[in-house]
Amino acid sequence: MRREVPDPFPLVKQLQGGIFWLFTKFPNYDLTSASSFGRHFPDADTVPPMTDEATIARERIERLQSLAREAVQAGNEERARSYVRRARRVAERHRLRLPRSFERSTCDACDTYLLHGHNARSRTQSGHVVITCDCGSQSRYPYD
Amino acid sequence: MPLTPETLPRHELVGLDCEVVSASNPDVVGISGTVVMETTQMLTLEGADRVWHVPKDSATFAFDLSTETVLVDGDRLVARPARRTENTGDSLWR
Ligand SMILES: [Zn+2]
Repeated sequence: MRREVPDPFPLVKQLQGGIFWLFTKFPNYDLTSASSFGRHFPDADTVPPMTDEATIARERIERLQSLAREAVQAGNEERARSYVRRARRVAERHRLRLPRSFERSTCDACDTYLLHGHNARSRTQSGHVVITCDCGSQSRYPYD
Repeated sequence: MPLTPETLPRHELVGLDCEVVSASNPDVVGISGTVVMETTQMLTLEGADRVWHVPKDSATFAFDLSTETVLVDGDRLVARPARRTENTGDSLWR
């Protein structure tokens, strides 16, 4: 014996039919664009212009680098570490490369700002320079 | 795009001279010093003889730039320090 299966979503079909009807009636009407349903946005004059965030991030890194240097000169090494870590984090978030001077004057192991005579030793060897941090870690870079 | 009043809430605050203009806690009003540390919720100001931790929320700060003084509502600064610069997610329409 066959029974008619009742349509579980009669309303959906009706709605779909209605939308299809709209399309046939107004073929040029853009249903996907919000602007065709009226203004949803505040006046463009009230919105401040977007600033270039990569530029600000580069300036932040520069400022943090000089602040870290001053902190080491003032003997506040823990503060310098936090500035260096902050600068690294900003570069990471904005996918920026850190300046070479930053890479060479910070310790990879303990994140302090390396300042010759304060917390770092520099020794020249054949072809490269060796920087030793007070924490014991060494970094090398070539003459250039 | 150097540090201007427009870019200040997105820029590095550490190193700026700052004064607390108003706050819900009357004890912190009038504190002034150099910003030395920043967390999501706090600014650390270093004065002549001590260091203060001031909640950003519910306070208004006056930052001294070289040319002018900028008043900033602390609510605008509540964010992780490295994420404050990002434009993502602060559409005015939400
Ligand atoms: Zn180290």
